[in-house]
Amino acid sequence: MSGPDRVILARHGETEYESEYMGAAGGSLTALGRAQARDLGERLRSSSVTAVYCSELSRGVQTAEIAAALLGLPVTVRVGIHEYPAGDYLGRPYDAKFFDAMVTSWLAGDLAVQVPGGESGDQVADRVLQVLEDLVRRHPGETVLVVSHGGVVLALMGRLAPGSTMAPRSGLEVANGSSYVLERDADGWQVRF
Amino acid sequence: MSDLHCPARILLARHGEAEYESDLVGTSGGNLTVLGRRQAAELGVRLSSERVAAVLCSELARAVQTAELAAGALGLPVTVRERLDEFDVGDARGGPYVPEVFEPPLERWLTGDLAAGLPSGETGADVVARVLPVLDSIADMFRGETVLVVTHGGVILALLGALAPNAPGNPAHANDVPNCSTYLLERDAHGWRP
Repeated sequence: MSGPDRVILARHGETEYESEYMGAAGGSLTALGRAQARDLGERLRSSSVTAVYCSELSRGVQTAEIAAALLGLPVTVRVGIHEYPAGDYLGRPYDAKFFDAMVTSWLAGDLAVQVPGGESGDQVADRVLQVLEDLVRRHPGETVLVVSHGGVVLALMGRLAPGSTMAPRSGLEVANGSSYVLERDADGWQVRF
Repeated sequence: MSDLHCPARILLARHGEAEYESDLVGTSGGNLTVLGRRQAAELGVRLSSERVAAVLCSELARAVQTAELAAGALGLPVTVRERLDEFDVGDARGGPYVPEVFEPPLERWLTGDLAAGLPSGETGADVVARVLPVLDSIADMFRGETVLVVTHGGVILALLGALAPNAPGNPAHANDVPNCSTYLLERDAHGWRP
């Protein structure tokens, strides 16, 4: 029996970087990050996942491969589901406060906001939903796992569930290895909290 | 005896067969095919008698996938390292892959002529100057041990051209670095040797 078109959107596991400065690096999972990826796979064993996708960033690829091994599935890497760029903050040490106001606006449903030189929430949500639309076309009635990034989760929450008390309230609340269920029907996408 | 006398053995491997969403040459990391995934798992099985102590890889998705699949067969974690990526193709980025353009510089790297490169791209010497310090830091961490480093065909050609031009075990041509083939480099107190 076929179910709804369902995407389980997960954040990658805990990651370390060679540089403290924000750049294009994909990072490398820590031992804890690898355990979080295994937990993700274990947790989804009973979810009838039929395919695993991930972003091109190395932390997403690692998380997907580790989770997929536990599910006995291959992984497909997709262009277009990567993290939002740091924009003009590129090259500076990461500080959540650079992005706090933007993320708060996104979650409230104002996705026009962006950091200088970066992407708006609308741009992030549009490029990611374009890929998710393609995935549900390929997997009608199935559940697929998509390993992506915290900022992607936040932009989609702002687009699909603006102001929801069930949604994470900040980037900090999108834990490594956590996952969110999105369903697509004739009325569009919904978050299933 | 100084621990510098214990050579570090680095098995350089090329990633498994990959496919790309675009036909144009870009910076996309690609995605392993079904065959590529099998090659990667077989790489791990083939190395199970080599006492591999660690698995490392470039940041590009095809290499990360290969490393995770091989490491899964070896029961090891994977560390992603910067600066192990494929050579920069310069002005050829965004255009089609044309073997007659891409392969001649790589052929010259193999013979030890590392000044060659694509217009505005990396020369063989640039690639070696980028990658060898990373391999040095890996060798420092794993003296007396064997580690697997999953990287790319152009990187392997540049390193072999720099360390062992025209050696009998080298690839015969630029397109003769099969997916998941391995090349052994050792570093001891005297430096690197194949």
